[in-house]
Amino acid sequence: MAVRDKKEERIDARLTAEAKQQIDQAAALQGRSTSDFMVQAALKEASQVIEQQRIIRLTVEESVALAELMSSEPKVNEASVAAMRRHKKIIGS
Amino acid sequence: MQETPELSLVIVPWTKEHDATQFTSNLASIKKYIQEQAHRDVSSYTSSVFVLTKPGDMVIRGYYSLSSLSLVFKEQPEKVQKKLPRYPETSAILLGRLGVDKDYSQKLQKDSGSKPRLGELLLANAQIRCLKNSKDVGRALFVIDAEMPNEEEQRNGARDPLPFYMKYGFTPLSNNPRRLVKTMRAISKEFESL
Repeated sequence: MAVRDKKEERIDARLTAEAKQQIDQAAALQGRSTSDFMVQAALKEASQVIEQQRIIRLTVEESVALAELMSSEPKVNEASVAAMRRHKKIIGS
Repeated sequence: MQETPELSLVIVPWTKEHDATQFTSNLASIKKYIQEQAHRDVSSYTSSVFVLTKPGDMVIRGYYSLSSLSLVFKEQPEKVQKKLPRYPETSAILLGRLGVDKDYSQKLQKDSGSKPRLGELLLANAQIRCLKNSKDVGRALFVIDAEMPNEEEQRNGARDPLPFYMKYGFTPLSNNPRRLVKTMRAISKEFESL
C-alpha cells in the first residue's frame, strides 16, 4: 500500500492569528512541523469520534438469530416484570 | 419484630455535583469508570450516565451508562434474506456499564436482613427509560455486553454477570455468548403487564 501513503491531498483551514500562533508554538515544542502536528491531532480526534459511533457487524449466524428474535412474538420474562414492579415501589415510575 | 424501614431511592442523570469518591466495587473497571471517566463521556455526549442515590443525597450508590449502537446485518443468500428486516441495520441502546456500591449494598442488607438487589432496580430503570425514549427515536433493541471479570477481579469476589442478565430475559446472540439482547417489544410487553 506504499502508493496510497503518498501525501497528495490538501486541507485548507481558516483560523485566527491567535489560534495559528498557539498551534505553531505547540508544534515547535515537539520539534514537528505545524502541518504534521495538525494532521496527527485531527487523526487522533477523528478516530475517537469514529470509535464513539459504535457499530457492531453481525455474523451470518447472528444476523439470522436476531432477525428471528425481532420478528417473533415477544416473550414476557416474569423476573423482569417483578423487578419493574419493585422498581415502581422503590423508585417510582 | 421491628418493621423493615421502607426503602426509597432515586435514579437521576449524573451531574458533576454527584459524589463517587466513596464508591466501592469488586470490579476495578466499574469503580474507575464512575470516578474517572463518567464526566468525560457525559460532557462529550458519548454516553449518558444515570446514578442511584438516596433522596436528597448526592452520594452515588449505583449507576449505569447508556450509549447508541448500530447493528449491521450480514448480507445473506436470498433464501435467508427473507427472514431479515427490510433495513440493513438496526439501532440499539447499549448498556455499557452497570454497578452498585458494594459497601452501601452490604449495609442495606445488614439493616434489613434481605438483599437490596440494587442491580435489579438499575436494570429495570434502564429498560423503562429506554422504552420511553425509544418512542421518540425508534430503537428496536436493548443490548448488553456482559464482560467476564478479569482474574484479579474474580479473586476479589466478582462473579460472571451473565446469569444476572439472563435471569431478566436477555438472551445471547449465537456466536458471541457475552453479547446479550432483548427486544424493545419484549420490554414494552413486560411494562404494559404491570
